[in-house]
Amino acid sequence: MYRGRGSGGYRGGRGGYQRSNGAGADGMEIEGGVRNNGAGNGGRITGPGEQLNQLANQAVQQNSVPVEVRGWQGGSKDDLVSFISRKTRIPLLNAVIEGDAIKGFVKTNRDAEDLKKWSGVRFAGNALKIELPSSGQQGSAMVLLKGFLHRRYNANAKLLDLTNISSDADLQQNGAFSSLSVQSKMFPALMKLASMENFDVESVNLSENNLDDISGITTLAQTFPNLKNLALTNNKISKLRSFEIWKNKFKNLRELIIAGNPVTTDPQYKPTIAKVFPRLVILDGIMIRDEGKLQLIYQLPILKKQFFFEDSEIQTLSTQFVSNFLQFWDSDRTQLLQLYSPQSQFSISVDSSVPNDSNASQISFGYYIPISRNLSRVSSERTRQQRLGTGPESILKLFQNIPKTKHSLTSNPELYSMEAWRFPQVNGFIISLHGEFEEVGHPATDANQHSNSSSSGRGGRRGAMTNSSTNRLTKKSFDREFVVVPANGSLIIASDLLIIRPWSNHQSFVETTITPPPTGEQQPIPPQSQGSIPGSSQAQIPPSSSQQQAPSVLPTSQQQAQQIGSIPQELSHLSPTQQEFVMKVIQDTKLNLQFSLLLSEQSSWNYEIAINGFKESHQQGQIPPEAFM
Amino acid sequence: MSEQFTEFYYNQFDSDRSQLEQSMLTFETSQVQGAKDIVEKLVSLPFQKVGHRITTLDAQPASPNGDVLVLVTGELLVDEEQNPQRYSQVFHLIPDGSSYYVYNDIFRLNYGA
Repeated sequence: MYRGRGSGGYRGGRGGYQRSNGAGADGMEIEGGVRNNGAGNGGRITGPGEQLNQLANQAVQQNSVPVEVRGWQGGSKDDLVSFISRKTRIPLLNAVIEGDAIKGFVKTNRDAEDLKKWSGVRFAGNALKIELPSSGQQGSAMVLLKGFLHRRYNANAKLLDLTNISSDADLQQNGAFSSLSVQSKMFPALMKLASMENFDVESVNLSENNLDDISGITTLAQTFPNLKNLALTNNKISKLRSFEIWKNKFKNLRELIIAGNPVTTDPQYKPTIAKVFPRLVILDGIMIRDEGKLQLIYQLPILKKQFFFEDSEIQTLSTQFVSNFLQFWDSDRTQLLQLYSPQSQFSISVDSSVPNDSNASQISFGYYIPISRNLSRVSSERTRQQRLGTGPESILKLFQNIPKTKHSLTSNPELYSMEAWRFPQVNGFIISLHGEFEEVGHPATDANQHSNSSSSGRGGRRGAMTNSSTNRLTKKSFDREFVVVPANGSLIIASDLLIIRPWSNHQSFVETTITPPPTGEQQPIPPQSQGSIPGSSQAQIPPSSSQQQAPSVLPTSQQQAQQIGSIPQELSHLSPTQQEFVMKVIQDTKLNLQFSLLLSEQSSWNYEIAINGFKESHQQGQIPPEAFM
Repeated sequence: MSEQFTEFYYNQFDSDRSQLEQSMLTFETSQVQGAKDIVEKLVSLPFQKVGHRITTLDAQPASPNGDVLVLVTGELLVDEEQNPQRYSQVFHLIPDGSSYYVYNDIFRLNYGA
């Protein structure tokens, strides 16, 4: 845990969080708290908070009460707005045309009432009809809440200040927040409206709303998933567990203020909150995480590649195999049985621990759990054997126990990640495939009804508890490993391991670093020479034929010569040591920049390997002339 | 066997990575070959304290020669960070006398937080 400077005084300075003036005063806390590390400040909020407060108050003043004007069609909207302003001295703000009416806002209820009295005034040949779309009319609650939201939204600060909602004069007057039960229904409605208004919001202040629970405001996470700052100051939240519902929801929440709630005295308060909000840096004005370190952790300085194939032959074989396989997997799994021999094995494991990224509130694994072989959960040897399909017949049974699916590998390859490696001992290859699928139909057979009597141990009982009627079909993610072996001119799947998990987005497949050479190809890995197997540490130099180099991006030898001594831009993603390494390879081998870089990377930055690999390939005539400067 | 292996592997990784000796490693598809380079790679990974928590483990024989394919999903806990990174990892184990060595080790982060 990291404590911010000046944090010791925070508790004592909590008075800084007391509201001192009207609605919106607490808007300052969010920003103020962040900057609350000045020496001796003791947590009291000044400076930027004050400005924010003023902005918030301005927002409160604006756009408050909605009015509708009809019969204006003799002139333009702008004509009408300036006419009203001139004639009545009441400015009509944010006017828009909706149907036959012009809708706008005036500052106060009083202005609205005054304006209404002008109804009947002649404008461009017609009598204007001015109405207040409030109580009694359909959708009046919507208009009321909309007006409220606009009053409380500060676009400059990206702040939605929902402090003490029930104190809002306009809402009070209309009885919107007369009771707690109404309030609990009102918040989801407010959130829905806020989504529709497309507010750009980074901070939300929900202080002083008598909240004794999170349950009434959970929809905040759906409306503002990228919220950075949240204040819940001076409510009555007492149960730490109630925050669990927001677990994995606000992935960008940086600052949270819960001070002034009973829950803060719970001994588990800090660790629990830190766990629920993984990127939270500041809690109640105290630094709980090192932000720099947090960034490092979330951006592992590791190359991420979506696709990797050991060589081009494997690439062709495995991509064809996988796209054909998934096509039949989705349409008719019985067609796949010819790929499995009597010794072939297939098993499924469920990993339900991964956070669910999808909007589906409930995600069900009921169909999979009775056949999940997860060896870290299933300890009975007999169950383990039962859940391992061996041979086409028993494999088909498992296939038919899981829902019908739809993959989109061909149409949306970006949602998938794949790599393939040679398995020379059996002359085959191993494919790792990661991605997602949609469940589109219930399984042909349901393991919950068939296998309970036969299965034993923990897993069997667990299966029995699952009611198949609750097995909703949802989008899910998977990991799959195939061991594929050629046999008699076709392919056999020797091993097939499948992991099913809640749907997660494909962010982890998005490549983080561009790897040279920049050919526009997704797999810049050169084909290996015949007979070379993984495990030998020979660095390969790509032959020219299969390498789709774009000549235009290759530096000319003249440019190359100039670049020696200074660091070329192409190397800017490398560490200084690595840059030096490449420059030395260029000098010693006279290879051009791109091939030197390739050689360096393939040698895993081992100079001896790089140079020996170069010499060997050069002797074998494997290095094309254009690889040299 | 696969349970023993993963327990051993992760214990070693989490306590002292430099003691892991194996022949091929893929970490987010950056390929590393040879025991020495692999250990170097593991030691150079940017964490001081690492913890692994396995959520699923499955294993199948991968060839008649006694090769084993182990597929693990789990949580990688980096330094003091409580929020785990989700990963999947495949070990291709090859029998070597009475024990096994890791022929291929393919690691992938699974969950874009």
